[in-house]
Amino acid sequence: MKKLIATVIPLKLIAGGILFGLIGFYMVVGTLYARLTSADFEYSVPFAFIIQGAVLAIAIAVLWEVFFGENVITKWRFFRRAIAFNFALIVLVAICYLTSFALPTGWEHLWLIGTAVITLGIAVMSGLNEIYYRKTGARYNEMLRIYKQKHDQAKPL
Amino acid sequence: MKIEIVEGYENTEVIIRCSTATQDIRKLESLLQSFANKLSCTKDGATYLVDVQDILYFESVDKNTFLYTASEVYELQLKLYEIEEVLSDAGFIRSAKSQVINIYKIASLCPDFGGRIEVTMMGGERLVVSRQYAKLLKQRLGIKN
Repeated sequence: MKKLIATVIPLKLIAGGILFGLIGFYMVVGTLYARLTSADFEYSVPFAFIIQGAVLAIAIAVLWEVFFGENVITKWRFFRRAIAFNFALIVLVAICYLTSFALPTGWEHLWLIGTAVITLGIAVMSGLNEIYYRKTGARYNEMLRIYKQKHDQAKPL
Repeated sequence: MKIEIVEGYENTEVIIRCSTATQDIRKLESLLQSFANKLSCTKDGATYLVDVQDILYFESVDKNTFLYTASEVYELQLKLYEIEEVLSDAGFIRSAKSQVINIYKIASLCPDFGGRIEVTMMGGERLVVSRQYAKLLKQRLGIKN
């Protein structure tokens, strides 16, 4: 029970954040897209979109927990996690698109551009993180070396 | 149980006299051996004494505790919290809920996403220090954020 609560609470927070992001993304990008392409855009969020968006947000949160949490995949480095998460996300978005679930199907180009931007973003973020982690790792290793030099492993009784 | 300490000897010697070597007795033996920087553990029914300096890490799987050296895996009677208490001064630190590692056997450290630290042990095995215990490891090594 304790483990379940410990998993569900962060999952709920992530899902809530994603749903908020999805609605914001829909409104901002939809407005811009409609303005730029003179397409029809309903300046309100349909109820069905919120329900379907919530389900999609939960699915993305579960993927996040699987790839970035400490319970399922424990021994992967960030770069590998990010690539796998991105791939799973693209598959999920493609399924939603093909089944007309949560995603407006009239905006093929927008979804293609959106997916490409997210992929590029994750790739850049992963690369920058990897550089940062390697640099920090060098500092950690220096401290480890100093620790080993300063402290001898305990002598027998 | 009768305990008697006799002083005046050059070498420390502990003799346990009992009717049978029960699990508790074996545990006591392991704890005593740890003071001599050796741990009593088993593999395929045979008992071995392993030097603490040879241990890479301990892991608890399904309530059983295993000890890993560069080439062997042994089982021992002690629980992880007992190992942590007894071997803390010998450079062992809790690295995850089910893992205690030997700092002196760490080859390299690399921070990872979510505050975790990836540890490469001597011999190449990679372990992950969870966020909860990464702070303790950093404190122990004197790493400031």
